[in-house]
This record gives sequence, C-alpha cells and structure tokens, in this order.
Amino acid sequence: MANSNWILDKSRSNLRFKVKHLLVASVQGEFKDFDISVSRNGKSFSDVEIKLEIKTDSINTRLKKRDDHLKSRDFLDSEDFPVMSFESTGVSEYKENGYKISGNLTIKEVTKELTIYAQLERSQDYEVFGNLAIEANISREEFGIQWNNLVDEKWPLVDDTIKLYGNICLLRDFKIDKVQGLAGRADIYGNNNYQVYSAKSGKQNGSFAWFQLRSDTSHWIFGNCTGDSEETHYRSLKTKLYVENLAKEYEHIISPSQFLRILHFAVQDDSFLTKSSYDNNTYSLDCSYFMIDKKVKKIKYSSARLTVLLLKNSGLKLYPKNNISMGFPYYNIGQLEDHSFSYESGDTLVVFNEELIRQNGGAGGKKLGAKSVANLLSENKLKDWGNKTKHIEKVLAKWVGEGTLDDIIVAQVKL
Amino acid sequence: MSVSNWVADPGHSYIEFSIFINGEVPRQVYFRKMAAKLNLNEDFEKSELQLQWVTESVDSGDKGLDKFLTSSDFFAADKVPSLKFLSEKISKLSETQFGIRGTLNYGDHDEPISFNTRFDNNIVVQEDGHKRTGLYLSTQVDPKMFGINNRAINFDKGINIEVELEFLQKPQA
Repeated sequence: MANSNWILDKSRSNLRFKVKHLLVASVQGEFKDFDISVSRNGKSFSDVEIKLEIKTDSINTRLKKRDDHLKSRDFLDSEDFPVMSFESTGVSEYKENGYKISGNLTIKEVTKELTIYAQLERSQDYEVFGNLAIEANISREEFGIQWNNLVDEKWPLVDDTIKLYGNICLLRDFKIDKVQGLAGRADIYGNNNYQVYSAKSGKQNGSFAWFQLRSDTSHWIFGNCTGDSEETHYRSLKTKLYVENLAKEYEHIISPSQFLRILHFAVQDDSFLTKSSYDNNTYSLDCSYFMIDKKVKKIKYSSARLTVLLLKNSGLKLYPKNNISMGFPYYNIGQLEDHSFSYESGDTLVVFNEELIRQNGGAGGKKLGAKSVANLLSENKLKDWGNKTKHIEKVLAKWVGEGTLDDIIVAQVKL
Repeated sequence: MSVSNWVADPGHSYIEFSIFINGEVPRQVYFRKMAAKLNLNEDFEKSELQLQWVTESVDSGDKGLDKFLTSSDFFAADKVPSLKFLSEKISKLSETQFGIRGTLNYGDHDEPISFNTRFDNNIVVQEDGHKRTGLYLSTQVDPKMFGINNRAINFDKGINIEVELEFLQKPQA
C-alpha cells in the first residue's frame, strides 16, 4: 500500500466542534465544507501526510444569527480568511490504532502547533477505506480570537477552549472505469482487457448490472445478475440505476460495502413494483465482488452464485461459490464468504452465471456448465472481436434446451 | 427544599444519536425539534426531567439517510411522531455525576433507560434576570428496543445517545 492516496468520502464524514456557553452547557456546531487529503509513503499509518482545509463560512450551529456572528470579524472573519488549514508534520502511534498527528493549524494567518488524536478504524474492506475518529482542543485566544462577554461577572459567554472532533471517512483514490449493464437484452461488450456477454431469449428477461473500479494497485469488479422473471429485470435495472446515480453523486468514490448495501436495499425494497403479476416466479440475484491485488497477484472474492474460473494457458481452475439464494422468495440474505487465490500475468478471470433450470441442451442434453463455458472461452481466445461474437452465438445456440437459453452472463478480465 | 421550574433553550441544546449501520462509520443524527423540562430541586436527586423529541425532525445532513431513518424500517415517524423520556429516579454518583433512570416512551412501548449525567450545579444569572443552568446526558441503547430489526441492517453496536441541555428560567414577576 505504499504511495497510495486517500480521499474524503464527504457523505460519511463530519467535522464538528463544541464550545462551552456560560460554562453550563456546550454549543455544538460543524463545518459543512472541508476537505482532507492523505498520502501514504510507507506501510503503516505513521507514514502518512495529511492536509486538511476547512471553509470558514461553512460553519453551522443551527442558528443563523449565531452563525453570522461566528463568521464575522469577532470570530473567524470568513470574508477575509475563507479557509483555515492543518498540515501534518509527523504521526506517531501511541496506542493500538491510536495516533497522535502533530502539525500546524493556521487560522486567520496565525499558525500554531496542534496535536490531533486519531483512532483509526478499518472496516472489513480495509484495503478500501478507513475511518478516523479525531479529536483536538484548540485555544481560540492563541489565534487572536478573543471576543467574549462576562455574565454575572464571572461566566464567559463563550469559552476559550474549542473541542474539535469528527469522523473522517477515507477511501482509496479509485476511479470508476465503467458502469456497465443492460437489462432485458442480449449484448456483448468489452475491449482487449475485459469482455462481458449476456444472453436472453424472447420469452424471458435476463439482466444485470456490472461495473469495475481501478486503482494503480488493485482492481475491483462488482456484479449483480440474472433471474427468470420480470421482477428480476426490474430489480436489476433498479440496481443499475442506483449504481449509476451513486456514481454521479459520489463522482468516483464508492466502496464494496456501499455497493453491497445498495444490493441489499435493491433486493429488499418492494416499493419499486407497485403491482406484481409474477408471484409464481422465483428469481435470484447475485451479489459478488472481486478484488484483484495486482501487487501480490492475488484475487479476493465473495460471490453468492457466480461460478468463478481462472483460465490459464495450461487449462482452467474452478473456485468455490457460496450458493446463497438472494431474492424472492429467499429474503434471508446469507453471509457472503471470502475466498482468495493467486494468479499469474496472462491468466484470465472468468465469472459465469446462468439461472434457468430448464436450459438443458448440447450434445448430451445437459445444462450448460462451467467446463463448457471455459472450453468455449479457450476456443475463442485467439479470435478477433467479430469472430468471437459469432462463435459464442453459435455455441450457445446448441445449448438451447426446452425452447429457451437465457439469463446467462459470462464476464472475463485479462489479468 | 425549594423547587424551580426550567425549560430547555433549544438554541443551546441538542439531542444526538450515533448509529452504526452495516459495519460502516458512525452516522450522527440530531433532532431539529426537541423540548425538555426540569423541575430542579435543591437536592438534585429529587429533581425531575422530561425530554421529548420529534422523530420526523431527524437531520443527518443526508436527505437519503433521513428518509430511511423516518421510514418504517427505522423510526417509523408516521406511526411514532415523537419519543418521550420521563425520569423516575436520580442517584448521585459523585459531586457532579449522577445516574438518571426513567422510561422512554416510543409509540406503544415503554422501555426503561438510564443516562449517565453530569450536573455542575452552576446557575448563571443574566443582566435581564434570566437564569441558566445545564445538564449533559449520555447512554447507549439496543436498536431492537425501538423495534428496529430490519434484515438489511446489521447493527454492530448500540445506538449512542448524547443530550446536552441548557435550561432557562424566566425572571420571577
């Protein structure tokens, strides 16, 4: 994780303060607009450099009159000093996952040393984000902010000590490379590095949402795919819209846990369908992610239903899946299990999913299986784009069972 | 023992919940509409505290999250418009630390709840005769207490509740 950059997830971060009013109770407020950048030059959190910028006119204590006073020359003077900033000079661990961040705080062009105490919490997706619970005490008078009134001759209206605290949620600087996904139609898309194929018949709706994230050192893929009813189509489409909207909202910030949460809501939320005439149908959704760590050439994944294959020059290897049913009537979403395996450059990661149980075809009247898909991909490996598509269509046509072959996804990424 | 009646100044008071959802970072939410009354006895252990806040006024700074929190998946604001706390027993733990035990009313439910409380017994008299004093309360509760048991939500920890109250007393006529 050397030389990685972390950025702020604004939606899940806050920067707050408390100050005693008349020494009887604290007024609480926050800065709505702030940004933090964290660059990491070594293996531990002690090797980070942190820059924090706070827009002074974003102060909010939920009382406009008070906010206006705090923005005035008596306090922050937001007009002349729109930003206050902190830059770290050193970080040391003083207890388990607890860090002292030393640095310089500048308010109204006055710079003073400040120590921020930070507790680093990592989620299970610790490769992707960490949360810093921070706390620091600031003497406002040290920065020349001395306005006050004494009440009853001894009670300061506003205390000198400001307790600054908050939760800073940091994400690796990922880019969403593609938000893929088409609902209810057959298609093939991709490039030399990745390809996605989906199939449907005229009778049913195969559908999926698919996208991937890239960084310098890792590569994330998420999937949500097929079922055998119209509801699946809607739910998958809805998930796709969720992801797209989220991508717009967060620009390029998303974490696996966010995505899994979206899937959970998409599966559980029935409000999208006001009237259902598909009560007799069952369907499944897949919920999967793959983290490809390019540095150590390892793949970590978790998948409810996808078949996972590693296609190598010497053949193929099949990896376990959870076989968890998700979606109506399987509302009970199971716990996804993590798996991992190593790969070599030139290998291809293939994920394959097909849903309809009646899709028995081919020479032996069997269900299209992982092995057949792998063979198909092996045969296709050296073909150009157009011939690749033709070959896939031709092979899959043989597998049409009882009049249908649909709800199939094959996705592959060259490693 | 004399008793004086105080009401919370909403401009200098807040009720805030910290909620952990699906192993993510804590989300702090506060309630825009709240009220509190304190019948302050010279012997603080004999005082009485009432707290009330409007569920629909929940504010996390994230409209999507607010919608979720007011929905039937969480606070069910349409069925449970407000939460009320009434103290039943105050116990002195140290000079300024107290335990306040009472009942939290949530729709049809009454649940026992205890707050750790700090009361410094500082009373400030303003020039216009208004008096001010303050209380700080905190506790952690099990989300199931509110009937929140949504399958899509995994609560790793309880809900932290933090209440800071600045009470105001008008000058005697």
